[in-house]
Amino acid sequence: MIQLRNALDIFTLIMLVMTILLLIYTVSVMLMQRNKSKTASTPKVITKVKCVHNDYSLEREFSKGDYVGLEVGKCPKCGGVLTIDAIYAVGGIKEREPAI
Amino acid sequence: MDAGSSSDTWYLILLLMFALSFILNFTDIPQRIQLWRFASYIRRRLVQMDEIESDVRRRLINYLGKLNISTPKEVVDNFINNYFLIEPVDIEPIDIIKRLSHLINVRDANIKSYAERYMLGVQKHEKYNAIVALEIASAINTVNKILKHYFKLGLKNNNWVLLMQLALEMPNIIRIVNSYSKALDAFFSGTPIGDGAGPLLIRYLVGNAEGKQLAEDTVYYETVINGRKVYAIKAEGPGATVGKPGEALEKLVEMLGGNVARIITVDAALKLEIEDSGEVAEGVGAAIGDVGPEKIGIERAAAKYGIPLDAVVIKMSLEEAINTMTKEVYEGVLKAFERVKNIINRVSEGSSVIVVGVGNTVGVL
Repeated sequence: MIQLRNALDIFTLIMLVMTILLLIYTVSVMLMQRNKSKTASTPKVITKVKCVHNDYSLEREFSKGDYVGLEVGKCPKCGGVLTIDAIYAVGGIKEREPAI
Repeated sequence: MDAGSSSDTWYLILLLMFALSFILNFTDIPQRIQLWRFASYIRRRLVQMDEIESDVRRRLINYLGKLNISTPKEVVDNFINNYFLIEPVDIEPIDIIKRLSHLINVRDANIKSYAERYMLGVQKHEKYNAIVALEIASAINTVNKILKHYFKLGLKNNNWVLLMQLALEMPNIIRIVNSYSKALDAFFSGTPIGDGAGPLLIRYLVGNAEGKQLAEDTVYYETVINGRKVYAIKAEGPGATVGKPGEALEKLVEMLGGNVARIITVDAALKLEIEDSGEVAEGVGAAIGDVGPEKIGIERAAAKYGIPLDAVVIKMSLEEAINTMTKEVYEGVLKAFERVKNIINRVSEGSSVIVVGVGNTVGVL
């Protein structure tokens, strides 16, 4: 009788451990999903303006109509032509590391 | 506790385990359960695909509305599902490039004529950007339809292997489709994309030189770098187009009577997972991701006159290639620019070099 009670106790214990493990697994999967959704953010697009004589440059936020090679004014230093030299995004696309 | 009743419980558990083992090993029930699980997973992902597709349509209709197109919904609906291309017969390979090139040209002409009809008064570069945006919407619609086709086929035939494959591929497909959806913003605003690394490098090579038309939507520039005559080819910007770099190169080489010391092709290349964005690599061959006609044009022009053909590639992911150029890729372009200048300097002074910047020139003049 004592032996049977012990056997049942072990069975209950195994079930309890399995339930706890299942709970831990479910919570960890939920947390991982939450972390995944945090990786994406809106990138900031920068327009780099440069003087053709290479003595002046500035970075500003991209505005519609900008394109590389567009003349945007005169250089405040030498009076040369200011053109858009580059347009690029900062932040945004973050690659997710594979979970090991 | 009564010993008799507890032993009954154990017998019952044992019996259940045997029954379960029989069901798992000798029936199709586990596969049916898997089929149900995969089908439910795919169904959720297909809802996500529908959401992406309708979002793309909505944004595209808004964009076309802003271009003062009177019937933007009609423009989108009439474009999607149409303008497919049937590949030419390949069991008879003679002339296949000529036939493929012809079909591509006819398709391009049809799309441009469609845009002309609906987009009256819209500037050329905005028209080109809108065409690429329509192509993106059409591609997303096609992917969605194919996914639904395989899903229904899997359910119809109880093909759990097909559904399992589909379920396993779904996250990757959704990731790619999401990238295409995000890429619309780049074409709406006209910012350079990662694939424009080649044309951007040409812009740095030639400064503010004026381009001369060489082929449809493709221009060339002339400049001198350290005593070497440099001819640079790129698509005509700032609208979204890749031009015809192969055809242009063939024409230019013929114009120069084959008197070219070196041809350098520069393009964006998809990186491997372990590589960094903006990495630059140098090799031999035509660096161009083309279905055939343009790539073979470059190879034929180089082979006809025995001109060495170099390839410089800037590595990036698919997401980076089709979205606004990232800072890492931009820095890669600067590195590639130095690499191209080194190659030019290896050629003897007074010789001619052709540099071809391959890629979509959106946002780059």
